[in-house]
Amino acid sequence: MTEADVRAALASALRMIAPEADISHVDAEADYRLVLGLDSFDFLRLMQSFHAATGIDVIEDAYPKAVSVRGLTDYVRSVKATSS
Amino acid sequence: MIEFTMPSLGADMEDAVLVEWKKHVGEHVQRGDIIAEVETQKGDIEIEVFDTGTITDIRVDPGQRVPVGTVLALIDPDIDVSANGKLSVAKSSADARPKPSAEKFPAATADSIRAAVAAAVTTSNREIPHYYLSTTIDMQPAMAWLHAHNSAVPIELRLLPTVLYIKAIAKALRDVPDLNATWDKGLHHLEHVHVGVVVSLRQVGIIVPTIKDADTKSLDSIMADLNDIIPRARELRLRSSDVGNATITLTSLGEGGVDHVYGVIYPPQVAVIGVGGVRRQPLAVNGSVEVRPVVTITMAGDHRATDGLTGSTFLSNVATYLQHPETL
Repeated sequence: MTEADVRAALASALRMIAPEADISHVDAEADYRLVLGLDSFDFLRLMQSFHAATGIDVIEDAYPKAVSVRGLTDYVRSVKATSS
Repeated sequence: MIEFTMPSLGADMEDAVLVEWKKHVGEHVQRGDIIAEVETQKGDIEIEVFDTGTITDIRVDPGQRVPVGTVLALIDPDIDVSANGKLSVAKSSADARPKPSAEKFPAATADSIRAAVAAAVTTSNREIPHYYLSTTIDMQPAMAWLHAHNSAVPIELRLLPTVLYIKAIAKALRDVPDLNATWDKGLHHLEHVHVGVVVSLRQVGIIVPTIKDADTKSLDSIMADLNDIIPRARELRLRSSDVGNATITLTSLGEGGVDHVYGVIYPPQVAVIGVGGVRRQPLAVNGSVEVRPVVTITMAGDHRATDGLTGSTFLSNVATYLQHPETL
């Protein structure tokens, strides 16, 4: 998955969770929770939707990375590298 | 004959507009059925019936604004079902009444929600002499328990710290019943423990859905309730059983970054609990200093109803439960 794929998956999930949140212009390294005003409940739902759409289970220990588009992309790559 | 009245859907609600009847004269209703939709300052809410029977009269037409407590309909509990449990209502009588008009009513706006919150907190601060307490709790055991739990279950079943707070508060209320009460020219104890949870509508305001019987529910069950209610609250699609009847309120500003939050009591409740964000700070543990996750829990109490000692006992019990998460 490229960074653009990850951003698209998050944008798609956010349409259900926080329709007013537009992640398309959020800096890849920024904490999108803070930029978009997502709370811990929104973030958990986002990770659940991301899992449902991509099959990637973001473990709790990876949450600090998963809060930016780039960090989540890196995490996805590391998971895929380990599993292949 | 049972009088079905306009329910109170929160301390800040004085009246509502009946938007649409979902059931009509002659129709059979069961406890939990959605009988009508009403428009409040906080959006359209589907109201449920609490009895089983047959609607014999409808007293309020769509479009009418009526105060809380107004009789909306009459329900006859006797002529509801035949011996085999099948409905025995003549269809013609249900059709006799004209269908409600499809006229649209304005939805809740940012301004109307703001106004509802403003009215509730103004009443509270004018009428309730608040007292304030706080305690800072070592969250190491709770966070470790939560992490172990969440690592062992599928992502759909992960829990949030809020679930632990709700259950700890509910159990502590059982220990200190004077805080599970209302104040109306005297203290009135309540039988059930229903925890109202403040949900932010982001820029717009707040709404307070209720986790019913939180003291007897499992953590998983409380989380399932949150998963059900919070998205609907944010879409302003709550049902009457989702709001109102809270016996205490929890406001949690979680990861917003603040350490302490002191709430405003929702009358006629007698306490509001505030939970700040979990932060790491030095803590004395067994005679040495360690960096630990801690959280500050506050309480605002109605001083007409209880004194600081009652609140202190309550907060100490909340702390004890959180330090033994396996007991929740």
